[in-house]
Order: sequence, then structure tokens, then C-alpha cells
Amino acid sequence: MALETIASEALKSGVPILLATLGAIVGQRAGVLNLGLEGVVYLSAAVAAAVGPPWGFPVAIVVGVVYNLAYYTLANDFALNQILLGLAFTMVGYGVGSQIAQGKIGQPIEKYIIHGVEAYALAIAIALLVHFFFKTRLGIAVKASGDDPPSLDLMGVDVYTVRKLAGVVEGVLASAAGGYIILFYYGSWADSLPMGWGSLAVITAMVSLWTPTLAVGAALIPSTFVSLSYTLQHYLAISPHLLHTIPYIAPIIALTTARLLAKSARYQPPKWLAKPYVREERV
Amino acid sequence: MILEVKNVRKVFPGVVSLDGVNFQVKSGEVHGLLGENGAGKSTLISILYGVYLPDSGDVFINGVKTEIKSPRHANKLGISLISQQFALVPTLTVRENLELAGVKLGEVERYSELLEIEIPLDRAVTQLTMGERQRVEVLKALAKNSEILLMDEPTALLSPREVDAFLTLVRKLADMGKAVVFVTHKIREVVRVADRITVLRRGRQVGEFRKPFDERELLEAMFQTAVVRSRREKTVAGDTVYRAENLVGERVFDSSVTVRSGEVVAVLGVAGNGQDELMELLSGFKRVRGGKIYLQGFDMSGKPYVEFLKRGVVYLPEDRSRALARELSVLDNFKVRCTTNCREKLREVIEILDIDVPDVRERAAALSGGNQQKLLLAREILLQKPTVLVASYPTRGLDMETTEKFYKIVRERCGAVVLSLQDVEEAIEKVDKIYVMSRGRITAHFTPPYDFDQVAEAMAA
Repeated sequence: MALETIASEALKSGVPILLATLGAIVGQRAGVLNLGLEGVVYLSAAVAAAVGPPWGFPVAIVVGVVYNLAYYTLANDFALNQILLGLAFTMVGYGVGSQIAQGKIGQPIEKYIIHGVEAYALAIAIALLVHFFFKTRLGIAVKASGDDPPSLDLMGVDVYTVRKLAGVVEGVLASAAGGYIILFYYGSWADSLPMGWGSLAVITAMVSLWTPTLAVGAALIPSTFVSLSYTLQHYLAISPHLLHTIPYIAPIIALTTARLLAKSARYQPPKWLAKPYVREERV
Repeated sequence: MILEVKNVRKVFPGVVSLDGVNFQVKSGEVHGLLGENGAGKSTLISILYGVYLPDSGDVFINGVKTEIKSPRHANKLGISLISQQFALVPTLTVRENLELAGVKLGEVERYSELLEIEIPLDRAVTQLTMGERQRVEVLKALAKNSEILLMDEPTALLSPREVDAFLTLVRKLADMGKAVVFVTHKIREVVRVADRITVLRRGRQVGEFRKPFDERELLEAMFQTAVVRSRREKTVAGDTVYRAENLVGERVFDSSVTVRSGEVVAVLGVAGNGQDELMELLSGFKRVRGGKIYLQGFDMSGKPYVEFLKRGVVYLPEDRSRALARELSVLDNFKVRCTTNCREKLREVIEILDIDVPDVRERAAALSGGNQQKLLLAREILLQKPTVLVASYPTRGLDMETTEKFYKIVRERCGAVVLSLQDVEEAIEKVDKIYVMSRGRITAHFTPPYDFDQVAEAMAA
């Protein structure tokens, strides 16, 4: 029984990680390291919980996209430090989100019934969409914005617009993940439930070497350990606090391994990751 | 189509970059824009391409007064720039780059057939030679229906063979009816390719010259007084000061270099054949993976960079920004090596090398590229007496006059010199021994008397 449950749970909880990871891949490929993704996922989850079905999901996406765009504008147009912004956007997301969904604590939220396999198959389809997105002109521009924005600028393509469009795509995917966590996965709200998912996605994007097709597998690493940590509690006498750190430790190990193995030029990190682009003036 | 500027003036803080300059180019001609560094060539090009707006003066297209607001606007008006820094994303393929630039592939193919140049569409730009990248840029400009092509020092990164092919291509473009502005400081190239030549000096227009050109006259116009190009004098080489045997790095294999006291030795090669890394290894900046380095008889292999510095090795990297703190003032940059009487010493070296510094408190980044290079030379060579100077492309971006001075100074002050160079002619004229590098290995070495073709052939092999 345990194995089947773990597999189904892993697939179900893998969906939001995969969605947010795909978002982070698009953002990071564009050269933006969005550590505030955690806040975006959290806030949209809270909105989904507060509004509830049927409108919770679309409203969560709208709010998430706006919040994410705010990050992109500050990080690029205003060239603010992305580490600092990431921390701020996470904490603000936590604070505002907890406030919005306060009334839902302890109340059941009507939950859509889904099956792990179907849900994950749908997420894989979205991963394929992102894969093909990188072959379109806009997708190529996104990659160029992360690897060599001065050249992109010289070609007459506006780097800031490209990065904001990437921010919209990232925002949609991350807040879809947030909405899913509440309306499809848990079906209830507690302050701690949507925590950690966004941060995991930032790491998983790196583990999958910024490649959507690899993300399909990479997203299952933390989700498997998330479901394991719940299941194992029944069998092992390890502190649950420590068990809950495994989903974070595992991707770090995977990340190290991936970096050591990935020598090919295709899998190198975007050269301008976390660097705002400011057109160079002589004066 | 005629593009014209009249009475253009552009001032940057502390520097009048252009002053009362007139310039015109029309379809079917190559107009050379000649001048030393800091003459204002790049500024003029930037105005024509909409990067800067002139402080005063006007731009006309076909006689109609026009304000070129941005590079994008320039593109719409049919003006393209082939800059020193290619507008190509290295990690993408040629095809992806063309798509990104919004260019029709069919057009690119049509022009590549018309001009008989081949481009590998499905290779990543990193895998292309500089010449190939430039051809992609030219095709891109043509496919965008550009009528006017601005070329900023287009031959700076090319190998001798590629330069030849490129100049032929430029002539073809003019014969097709395109207008070409060819910016350079190399007289020989511009004489070969241009229909008329405008010479700038320190922001002012010295004159417009028409065929037949007189190289001497152009030289005088560029420098006011003629520069006497000195030939390498016969040097009496002393003992071996520096010996590197079978060096191995990441991209360098089995390379040996010997320099005797008083010698200037050059490493030549097409860009990207490992010269940069070889210089890093020779200077001790990067530790060797294999092989031996002897400096004045001491075994230096595997020693850290500080040990090399203590023994008087001076290393000038290719990328100036690595050796200058761009955001610090000129004076502070100088003080990195200088401890006493710095202001006076700085004033002295500014005089000697004729560095254009309006104010020593100005940021180093505000100096033009050539002047940054001079500042670096002043700090590293004039302030101390290197036992061995290792320099990556030290004369790139320097005008002829300063290049002359550079060789004079290093011969006077340095115990021994190893340079990487790009210009075969320069090497033949100035150095005592030439090593040719190809694919990470030293494939040939030459001693005077040199044969230009032999050296160029070795580089191309």
C-alpha cells in the first residue's frame, strides 16, 4: 500500500513544484533570479483560499502575476538588488497572505478531486509548451536576455520588455501552483501549508539545468521526499522537524551532482543571472 | 540615399568629442573615416546610429533634416551598424540569432548567394570565427534592407586573410549600391577600400581627401606631424632571462617560449587559439598544469602569482577593465602601484604618453579606451622596471604614435618582453622573434629577416 500511496502523493505534490519550476526556468533564463517566488506562490495560495472556488483560481493568478511583475519592475527597470528584493517579497507575501486567509483557518475548502497521474500528465503538457516556447522568437529573446542582453539591445529588442514578459509567464505558472496547492492539493488553509514550495521551485529550476523537459523529472525529487517525510513518520522514530528538511537537502545534493555532470554548453547557467541590465554609457 | 551631418558638436564632461564636423556618405560609395584614438570617430558613428543626439548641428537624410532618435529608429531609416562588439548572442545558433533580429531567412540566403559567402546557419555563434560572425552581421544588415552600413573598426578582430576577404566584400557592397562608412585607424586598409576619406583629429575635421590618396599626406593629417615609423634595430640579445618549457593549460598544450635579455618576442595567432591563456600561464597569473617555467634561472613552475610579481614580472591582461578599477579615479588607479609623490609622477607620465585626462579625479571609465590603455602602461611600465613584461594585445586600440612610444619604452625599461599581437605587419616591424600559435600549440617560430607571407600562412594553417 505504502508504495502506491507515496507514488500518487508524489505526483500530486509534484504538480505545483513542476509548475513553479517551469516559471522559475523562464525567469532565470531571462536573467532574473526571483527569490521572491516563494512570496508569489504563498500570496496566490492565500488568495485562492480566501476567495474559494470557483473564482479562487483565476483571481489567484491575476494577483500573483501583478505581484510578480512588481518584482520584475523593481529588479530590472530600477536595477535593485535581487537578493534583497527576494527576501522582502517573500516576507511581504507571508504577511499579507496570512492576513488575507485568516478567516479560513480550520474551515474546509471545497476541493477538486484529482488523480496524481492525470494531474501530472497535464503538468507535463505544460512543460512541453514551455519547451516549445523557447523555440519561438520571444523564447529566443528570453534566452538572449539571460545570456547576452547587450547584444539583444543592439539588435533593437527591448531587454526590459522581454524580461517583464518572462515575468508574466513566471507569474502565471507560479500562482497557478499556489492556487493548486490550496484548491486541489490540501483543500484547507493553515499558515504553514503553502510555505517552501516557491523556494523549492527556484532550486529545482537550477537542478533541471534550466531545461523544461528535465524539470519533469527534477520536480519529482522534492515531491517524493515530501510525501516520504509524511509516510515515514509512521514508521521511523525521527523528529518530524528533521524529516521535513529532507525535501530541501535532496535538491541541493541533486544540484551539486547536476553541476558536476553538466559540462555541455547547453546546460550552463544564464550568464546574466541575477544581474540587472543597465545600458552602458561612457559618462 | 544620402546621409549627411552638418556642423555637428558633441561634448562629454571635460572633453569636446566633436566640434564643427561635416560628413556625408551616399549610395554606391565607401567613405573612410580615419583618425587616431579619441579623434571622435566612434562619437560620430554613434550620432549617425542614433545612440547620441548631437549637442548642436543637424543630420540630413536625402536633404531632409532628420533627428535619429535611437538605434531602432536608425534601423527603420535604413541605417545599420556593424560594431566591434557583434550584436550576436554567442550561446544561440546563427539561425536563432537571425530570427531574433527579425530578419527573413530567405533574404539572408539570397544575399549570401549573391555575395558568394557561406554561413553555417545551425552552428552556435561561439563556434564561428570572428570573420564568420562579421559576415553574419553584414548579411543581417542587408536582409534588413539597410542602405547605409556603418562599420566601426571592422577589421580589428580579423586575421590577415579575413581582412583581405572582408575588404573585397566591402567593395562589393558599394558596387551593389550601398553606402558604407568605414571607420578605422589603419591607413593602408582605408586607402585600399575607400572612395573618399575624412580625417578627424581630436574632435575636429582635418580634411576630406579624394583619390588618388597619398598615404603620407593622410598620416600627417592624422597626427599633425608625421610619425616616423621606426624599424626594429638590431638588438644584441643577452642571456636567456625567461624560459617556458612544454607548458600545459586548459587550452594550451606543449608550448615552449624562450626570451633572452633585451628581446621583444611576439606570439601571433588568429583570435581564440589559446594565446590569451598562454599569456596568463607565462605571467604566472594562472598556474600551469604541466611544464616548467624558469625565470632568471629560478624554477617558478607552480609558484603562486605573487612570487612572479616579486621577481619583477608585469602582466597586462587583454581586458583592460581587469587591470583598472573603472569606477575609481585616474589618480586612485595610479596609486594602486605608486606610493610617494603620486600626483607629480602621474603628471609626468601623462606628459610622456600624452594621455588625454581632463582631471585626475575623473573616473577611469570616462577615459577613451586608448587612454585607459595608456594609463595602464604608465602605471605598470613607467613606474617600475619590469624584469619581464607579459602583455596580451598591448597595442590594440592604440594609435600609431603611441604604439611607437610603447615599443621605445618597453625596450628601454623592460628586461625582456613577451607580447601577444594580432597585426602581422606590426610584429614583423617591431619584434625580435615571432611564435605562431594555432589550436593551443606553438606551430612555428620565425626570426628576422621575416617573410610576411610565410608568417601569415603559418597563422592560417
